[in-house]
Amino acid sequence: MAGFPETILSCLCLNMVSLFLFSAFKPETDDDRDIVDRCVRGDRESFDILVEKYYKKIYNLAYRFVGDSEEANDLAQEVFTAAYQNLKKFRGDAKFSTWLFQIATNRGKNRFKYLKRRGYFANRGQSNGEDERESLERAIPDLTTNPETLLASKQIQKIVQDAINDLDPDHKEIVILRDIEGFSYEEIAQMLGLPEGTTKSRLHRARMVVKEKLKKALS
Amino acid sequence: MSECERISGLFGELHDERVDGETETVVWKHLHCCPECREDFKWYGMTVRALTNLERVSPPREFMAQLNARLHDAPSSSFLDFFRNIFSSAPYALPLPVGVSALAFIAVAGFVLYNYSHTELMPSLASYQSLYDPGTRPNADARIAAKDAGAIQPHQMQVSTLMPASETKPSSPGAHLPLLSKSIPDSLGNNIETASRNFPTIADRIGADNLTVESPSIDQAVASLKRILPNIQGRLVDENNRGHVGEVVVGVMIPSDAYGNLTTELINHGAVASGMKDAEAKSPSPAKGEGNNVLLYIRFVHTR
Repeated sequence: MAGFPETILSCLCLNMVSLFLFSAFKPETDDDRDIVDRCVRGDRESFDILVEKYYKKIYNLAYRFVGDSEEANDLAQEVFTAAYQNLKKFRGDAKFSTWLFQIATNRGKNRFKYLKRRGYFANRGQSNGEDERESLERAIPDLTTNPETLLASKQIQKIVQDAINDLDPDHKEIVILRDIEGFSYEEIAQMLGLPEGTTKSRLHRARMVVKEKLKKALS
Repeated sequence: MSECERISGLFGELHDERVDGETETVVWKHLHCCPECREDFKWYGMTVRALTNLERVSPPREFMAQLNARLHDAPSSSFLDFFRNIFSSAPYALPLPVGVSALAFIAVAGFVLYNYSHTELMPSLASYQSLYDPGTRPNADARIAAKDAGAIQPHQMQVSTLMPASETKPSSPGAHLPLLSKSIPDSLGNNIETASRNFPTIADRIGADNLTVESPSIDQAVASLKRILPNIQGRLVDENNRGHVGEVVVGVMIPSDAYGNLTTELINHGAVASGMKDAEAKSPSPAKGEGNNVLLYIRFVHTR
């Protein structure tokens, strides 16, 4: 018992050292840090700057998660609301954008699971299935045309989005973050709390699933 | 795993140009020889391009207005949130070790405060301890033989031992306190509990005006006292071992009639009293009482 205070003091010293080391070797700077600080101090307009900067990307990500405009609109707004309410918890360990997309990914994943549980995607598929198939058949791409033109066609985009919708949430989030939003493997691993190897293998499996669906639809 | 499956597993790395030169050569050689894998790789590349070229969807025009309305309606952080997030939020952009340090600091502060409170923050307890310190007690040298004090005032009595004077060690646990006669009149009634509730806690009120009992085994002495209490229609009100290490203080509620018997029994077994003059020892009066009941505090200390 007599050594207790010395032990605690040693721990405190170690903590202080780790704090200084952490500060000294902080890997990258965050362009949004000043704006976030101002916002935390109560400057509401600073948050508008952040919204203005990211809302299109967040909306796009939300849309890719749920595949529907209205749901994506609601989801994106929910993401920004959550970010605003939790801004004080942002420690600055990662960039603000990484933190924001982490929230978006988590919320998107949860919303997707919720909608899927309620049969949202199944109902949509049943109601429009016939029309869409006819539409696709009419627009079956001519594989001799320029591949980029082919991929840009609405029908192909629809096939790809449907394939994304069919992915399970763990694979879907990685495809969206990597191939659609263009984050690096390192950033994705940080956002999702996964090892980089797991991120790569999941991405590969997800791409293979989408590939099979694309191949089946276009062949 | 077949060669084709192995090559297929490398499509991602090949597409992202993350394979080393040797592996790349092997993969391209295989793709050159295997039309199925070549076709698969072509589709794989096409899929990645399709994903990366997905059209960016634009939010509706009213998005910002709707969001502003939503943010306006969002509840601001509450008072409880402050405490909920006290170790996770970072208002000064400090990382997690600060939270851990804060916890450690609170632990140390609590420990120091706890130790300090025993000596400095409880003056009543300190004064109580000094009062019973034989070196500082003013009347410590005024001891008289207990047998000369047939009926002494309880607030001035100090019992040196509960064992018979001839004995040096108890023969049994019960020998520390003799059993009192059951012939003590039943004069307590049902108001004992009410009376005991009205008295202050023992730790606050124990002082020089109550009994101190010296015994070689405090635990056995206390146990003996507890055993005899029912026989004299008394009951234990409080028990506390705060204060000096090795001391126990008990509060007992007994009939006033039984008070003399109890003290006589104690004195007959070698108790001595101190801090009083002969004249004062003539008229016994209980420390505190209500009606026919007496609340008596007894402090057990090791034999010096």
